[in-house]
Amino acid sequence: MRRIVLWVLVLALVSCQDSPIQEFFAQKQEDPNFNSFVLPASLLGIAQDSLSEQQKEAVNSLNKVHLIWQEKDSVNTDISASVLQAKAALEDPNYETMMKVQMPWGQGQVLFKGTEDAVDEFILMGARDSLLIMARIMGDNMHPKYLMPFLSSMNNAQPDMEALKPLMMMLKEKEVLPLNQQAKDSLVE
Amino acid sequence: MKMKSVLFTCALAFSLWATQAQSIFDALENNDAVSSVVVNKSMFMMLSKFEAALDTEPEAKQFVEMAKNIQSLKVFTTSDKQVTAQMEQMVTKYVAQNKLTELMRARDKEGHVRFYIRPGATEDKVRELLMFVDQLSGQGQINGRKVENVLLTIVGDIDLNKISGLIAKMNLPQELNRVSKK
Repeated sequence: MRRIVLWVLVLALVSCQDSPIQEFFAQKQEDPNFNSFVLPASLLGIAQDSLSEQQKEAVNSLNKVHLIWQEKDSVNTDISASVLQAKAALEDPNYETMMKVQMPWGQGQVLFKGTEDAVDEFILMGARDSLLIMARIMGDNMHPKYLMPFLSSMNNAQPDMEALKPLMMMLKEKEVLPLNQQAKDSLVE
Repeated sequence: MKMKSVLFTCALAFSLWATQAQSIFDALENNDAVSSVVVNKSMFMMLSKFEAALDTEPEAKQFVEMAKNIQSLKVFTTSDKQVTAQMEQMVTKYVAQNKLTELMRARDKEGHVRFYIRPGATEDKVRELLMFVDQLSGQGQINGRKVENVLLTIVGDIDLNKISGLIAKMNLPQELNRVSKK
């Protein structure tokens, strides 16, 4: 009996360490050719007091988002090797693939860890000729039903724009997000 | 000891079989001439939970019911003639190997549409639906429109009469509506 417990522990440890996806994020975080940004949920500046019970649950289920990206520029003239590396890491047996899209203009994948009712992590990957971007969304028991309350709680959020600046600049430049004029102006200031 | 090795061999054989059984279409995912969308069960589960949490109209409810029971959805699109021929071979092989039956086939000026099913509990319920649209074997353009040959498979518990909700929600090819008897 004791031996079994020991084995389970060893297996658990091994499987924790051996996640190609987590390794990839850790590695690229240190890589000068990559950009990395860790966004704790607190930076979004969502005021808790005015939230409904469900909105609170939704907001509290998210801990942080880790973004890494590589752009094609004068230094990194070809990012296809990174894309291949990323795709290889996404074959991680600790995660389940939800969706894969491959189009002439780009590709993307969505993976998750946990159960469908209580997701611990979402992994998003998007790549096209000039940009590779990956996000690791970490939380506790995230539920699909939280998505709408979460978005609605963002309406009166006061994000810490100073801290978010590097991220927003990238999103704006690459036109990943269709920012409105007001948001763009606030970045230029 | 002997028992163990037998078990091990069985497990190994099973895992090999399981990976092979994944599907012959997976090779298309890595083909540059093919656009693909692959949606798995977990995505459908989450989509249905997401939809169910909203105040839903009947149409969305129908989608929730349907999505819960879907194992996978794969759509492969190509304009390449050679790849289309390859797809056709795959379909023929797959249909034979998995004993799918032909639901219908239609032909017009623009090309060919074929539907195959894996029969389910009733006539309207199927366990797999496969559609192959072959537009004149992928010859460049028709009326100025780029030829798109489509291979689509849905595995799960599918009610052919309720498929319209899924087509609308997932933005699937309109040809699929033909399987509905209503």
